[in-house]
Amino acid sequence: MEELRLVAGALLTGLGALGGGVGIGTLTSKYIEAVARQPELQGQLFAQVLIALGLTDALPIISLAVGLLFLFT
Amino acid sequence: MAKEAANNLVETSDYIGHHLVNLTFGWCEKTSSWGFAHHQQDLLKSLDSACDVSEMGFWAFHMDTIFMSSFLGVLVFGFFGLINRSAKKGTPGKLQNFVEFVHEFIGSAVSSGYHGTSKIVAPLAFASCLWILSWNLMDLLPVEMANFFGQAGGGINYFKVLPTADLNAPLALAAVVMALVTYFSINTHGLGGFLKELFVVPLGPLEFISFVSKHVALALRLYGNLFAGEMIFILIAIMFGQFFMSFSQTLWFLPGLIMNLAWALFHILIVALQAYIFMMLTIAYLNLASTKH
Repeated sequence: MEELRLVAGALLTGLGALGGGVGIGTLTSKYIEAVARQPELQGQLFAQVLIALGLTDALPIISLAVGLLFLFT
Repeated sequence: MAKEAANNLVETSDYIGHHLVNLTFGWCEKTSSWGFAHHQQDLLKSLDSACDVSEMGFWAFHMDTIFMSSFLGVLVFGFFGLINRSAKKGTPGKLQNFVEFVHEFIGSAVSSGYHGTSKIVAPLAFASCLWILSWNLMDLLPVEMANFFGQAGGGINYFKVLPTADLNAPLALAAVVMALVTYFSINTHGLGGFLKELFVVPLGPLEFISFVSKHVALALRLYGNLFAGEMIFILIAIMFGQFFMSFSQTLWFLPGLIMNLAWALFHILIVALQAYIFMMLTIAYLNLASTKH
């Protein structure tokens, strides 16, 4: 059981990071495309991108936190 | 060698476990009395109960979370209240400039995000943003500091300075937001309209599930981010703490400092961003609740 718990923690941390990486990459590339097309919108878009980044970031970070809990407690 | 490694692992779990336990005040079934959990503090001998935290059950209050959150609330809003009261016309001073900047920043966020008529939204956004920001900033204090001062100054052995790393505090905030959203929805659509919106939609009770889960996610997002950040600080402390015991002492101070500093600098972004996101989502949810469609 001990090993299974460690594997579960590792899977939580790793797979969470995988999904978060894809999400943040897509988000940022779309943002840069939009700014390249219409540079005058950068100010408005940046605030929204930050919010979306925080929302996307939350899921991998939650799984990281739970994974660390599994690994170390 | 293997035994040594196993001992290290046990010590590591103990250390992390010690940093994840709140100073708990609660009802002890065994002795039928109120008190702090066993051996958590040596300050008030009469309040030391026989129960551990896990045996306390429902009536367990996290005193450190309650104390830190109210202390920071009084500090932040006392500061803003004092500056607001002493505000003068003419050229503003530095502090007044700063306070006006914060007011304008939050005011513009509210006026761009909320299109209803309620007057409660702007103060709510102001309070949630600044209060959460002040909580989150506690994460940047050194992990060992609370224990160090607690033990030196009278024997408080368990104290978590970061209220957001305790799930109860974010859940309480989210519960307030949920209650307000319910109130606003009933105000705009009427009770029947609100219930109809939740249950009578093409996909059945899915709307209700999303209503509950979006508020739970609001709390979990804040908690998860800050908890993970705190955990990484603790892991860095462990990494170099173990070197401290075995190798020459001063050599490992520098890399530990650099790693802590690097993570702290990155973490400032998360600290501020999470407070901002909580505020923006509160505004957005209240806006959704108070628009007719």
